Amino acid sequence: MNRRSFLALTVAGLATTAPRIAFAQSAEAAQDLVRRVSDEMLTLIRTPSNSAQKQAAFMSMMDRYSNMRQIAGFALGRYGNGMSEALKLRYIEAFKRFVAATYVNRFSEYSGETIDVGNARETRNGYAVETSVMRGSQPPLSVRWQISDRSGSPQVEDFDIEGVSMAMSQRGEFTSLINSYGGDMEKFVQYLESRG
Amino acid sequence: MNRLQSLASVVALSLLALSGCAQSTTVENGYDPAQYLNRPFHAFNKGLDTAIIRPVSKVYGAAVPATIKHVVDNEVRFLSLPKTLVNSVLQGNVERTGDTAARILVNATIGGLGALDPATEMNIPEHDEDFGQTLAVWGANQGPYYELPLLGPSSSRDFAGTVGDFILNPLSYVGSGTGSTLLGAGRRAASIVDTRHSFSDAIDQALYGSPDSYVTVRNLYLQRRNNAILNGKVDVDARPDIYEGGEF
Repeated sequence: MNRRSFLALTVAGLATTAPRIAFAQSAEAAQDLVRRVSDEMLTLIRTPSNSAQKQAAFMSMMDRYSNMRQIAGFALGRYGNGMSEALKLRYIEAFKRFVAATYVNRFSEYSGETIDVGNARETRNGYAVETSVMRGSQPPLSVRWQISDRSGSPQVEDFDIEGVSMAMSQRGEFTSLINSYGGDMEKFVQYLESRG
Repeated sequence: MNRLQSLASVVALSLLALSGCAQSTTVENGYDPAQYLNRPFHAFNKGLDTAIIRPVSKVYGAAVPATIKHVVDNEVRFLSLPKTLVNSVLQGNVERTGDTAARILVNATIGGLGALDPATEMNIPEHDEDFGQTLAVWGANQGPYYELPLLGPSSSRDFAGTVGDFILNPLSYVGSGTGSTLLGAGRRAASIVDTRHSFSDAIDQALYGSPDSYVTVRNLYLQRRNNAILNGKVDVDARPDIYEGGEF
């Protein structure tokens, strides 16, 4: 092999491996993020503290790992259009309090769990990372995380527990509720504030 | 009902579901034109849970020894396997047919007719298939959502599935007369209490901790059914995108 063809081969080799390296790094970044969030969640659940403290810790976690403004907006479906910025801000705060309270309540009975982080599959917007929550004698719970770095760094966009998407569940509940208020967003935000 | 009539009913039900009306709206809220009927039925079912099912499952959870609960849970799952086997075959799913046949064989023999679950220790996967899922695999539309008194959440496709499963399930033909009816009723009651106990926190949250329990139950049911039909392999690129409506 002469020097030129060797060079060409090397370049060709680099060209074909380079995207794969980038791919692997993002998949690993997605899995790393899921591992960090899972660990922090387990620590939070196990730490003895009252539910108000847990709720505050959960809210801080959500803000650090997700774009909560965008998720809150998604949960309104088409009703989110045309809200004033002031009402949006009140809603986003109430949304975070509501979601954190729900999860603190839901996970209160968990304690001895461990989380196995599995495969990361590439998706349209990032990665879907599979995890299994091991619960002693009960069958493991499947949790799938949607991770995207569209915002610049990897963030959690949604997670499915046994095939149930949290973002879609929230959207289903909220849009029905707003519909029952005749589309009155002020009334809806007031209701949510009273729940958090 | 003889076998030929049963078969004819299944075919008729399948055609009915396959010709079902087109679907609209979001995955999680489904197509729900019968809400005015469903809501009173939901109130009835929820009342039944508050008055009977929840208290009974609490007593069951607290008073019955863990070993017996374990055996009941094993039996409930074991007795649902014939249904899964039949539907795995109808869906042409070779892998799940094999898994389920192996599970029945192992748990019926060394598992003592399903009292124990050695199949799980042998890493034989457990699946849950029913005729509603089979109809979906065959291309039937979900159709309108229904919440039925006593039977709970369903859809026109899943209701056809429930009837189809009754006809297709080999266990429906075991024995005859009062003994068989009592056995069937006992199996159903055990299944309800076992399920209510196993998922007590999730069900409590949905029924008593959500803003609108009717919507929450519908939402959970439709997403879970969709996941079951796709055998957990949800098309991640078909799911809604949180940025779909632009920046909030």
